[in-house]
Amino acid sequence: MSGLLAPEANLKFAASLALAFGGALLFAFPLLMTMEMWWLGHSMERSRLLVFLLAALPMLLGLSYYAGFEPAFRLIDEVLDALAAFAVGMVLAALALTVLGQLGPGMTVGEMVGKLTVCAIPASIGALVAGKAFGGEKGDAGRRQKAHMGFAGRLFVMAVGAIFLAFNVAPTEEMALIAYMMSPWHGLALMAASLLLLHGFLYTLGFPGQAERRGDRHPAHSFLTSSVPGYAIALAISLFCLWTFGRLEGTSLQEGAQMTVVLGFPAALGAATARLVI
Amino acid sequence: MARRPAAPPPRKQTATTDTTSLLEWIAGGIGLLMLLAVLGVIGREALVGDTSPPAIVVEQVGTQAVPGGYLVRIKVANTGGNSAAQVVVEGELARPGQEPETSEATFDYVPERSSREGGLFFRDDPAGGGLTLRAKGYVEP
Repeated sequence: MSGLLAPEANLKFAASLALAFGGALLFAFPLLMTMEMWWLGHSMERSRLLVFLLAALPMLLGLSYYAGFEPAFRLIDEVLDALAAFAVGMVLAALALTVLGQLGPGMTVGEMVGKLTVCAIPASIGALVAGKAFGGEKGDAGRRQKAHMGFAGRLFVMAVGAIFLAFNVAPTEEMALIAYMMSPWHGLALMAASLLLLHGFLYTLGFPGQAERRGDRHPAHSFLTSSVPGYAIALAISLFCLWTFGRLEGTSLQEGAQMTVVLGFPAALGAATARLVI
Repeated sequence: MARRPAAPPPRKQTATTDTTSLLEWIAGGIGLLMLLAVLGVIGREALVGDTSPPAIVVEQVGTQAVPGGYLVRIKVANTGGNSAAQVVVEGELARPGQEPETSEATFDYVPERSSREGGLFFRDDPAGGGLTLRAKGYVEP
């Protein structure tokens, strides 16, 4: 009981909540001020919005584990943190959209909830990334734990990084427009550039626990085991974003692929620099 | 009734491992409630939502004199089950002995079961009657 009411732990959590609001605002404000986001809130097919929300939940859970400093995996803490981050995202989206005049009379509950959800998901990612100190007690033990992040963990962090950056541009018209204006050769060049940049960033920044081993690895090995899967994840996430936002509807296979490659560029940059934010 | 999954934290944990503060439980609880509410609203719409095409009704809200003519404030309501984009609304004012005067406005977005407001300008006073309002068309978002 003492742990439950301990003023120190409560104060610490309040401070990390405030930090989480800051992070949510910083990550989500470009989206809160993008009209495509408000439109997606009601034009998005409800079943896709549901899939989108359900897919975001395990991601928030994983993020609360990898971004948090908790030394060991305590499911209840991770679940609470993920839920708290969702609450922060929803409250922030509600406040911001109200102030920006995007919520008001003449709208149905469904429309408002849709708008809030679409904006709350990126906001809660920002909340978790900023609120690294979520959950009270922490020490260096958490960092040590993360130093042994396995292959799956590295891929997960890259996926979150990819979403982090791709999300900022995914809802805009420009993704489709750029894809229409590019020739297939431009697309191939962009793929090569994305992959090379991804590899360059990964090799320079590295992952925790990778640094000491990097010396005795052949560059081709790390290219095949980190960069290529990382780019594959970036493309998969781009494809998922495009699908949920209904961008693939009535689009030819070639245009769809081109759009995926266009969105894959920011996604690859995000995957490569995930170490910086998480 | 015997077992509730959302039980309070076990009290027998020692102070060193129990770092879950009360505020954390509250924040997490609020998050859970919000999540369930959102899932409920979206899930209901996904499963039993209305998918009928947009049905646009244009309604006159008020008329007032403005410099250079008259303003007719209108309300565009979509009673259908799908959103409509770029809804063009035309107002036609019949004038005895003359060509009717027309004005139009385009609404960027009218979501399903929602309404948006706007206005049409006329040179002649529409108070005399003979004003008809209609939606001309829309684009699927």
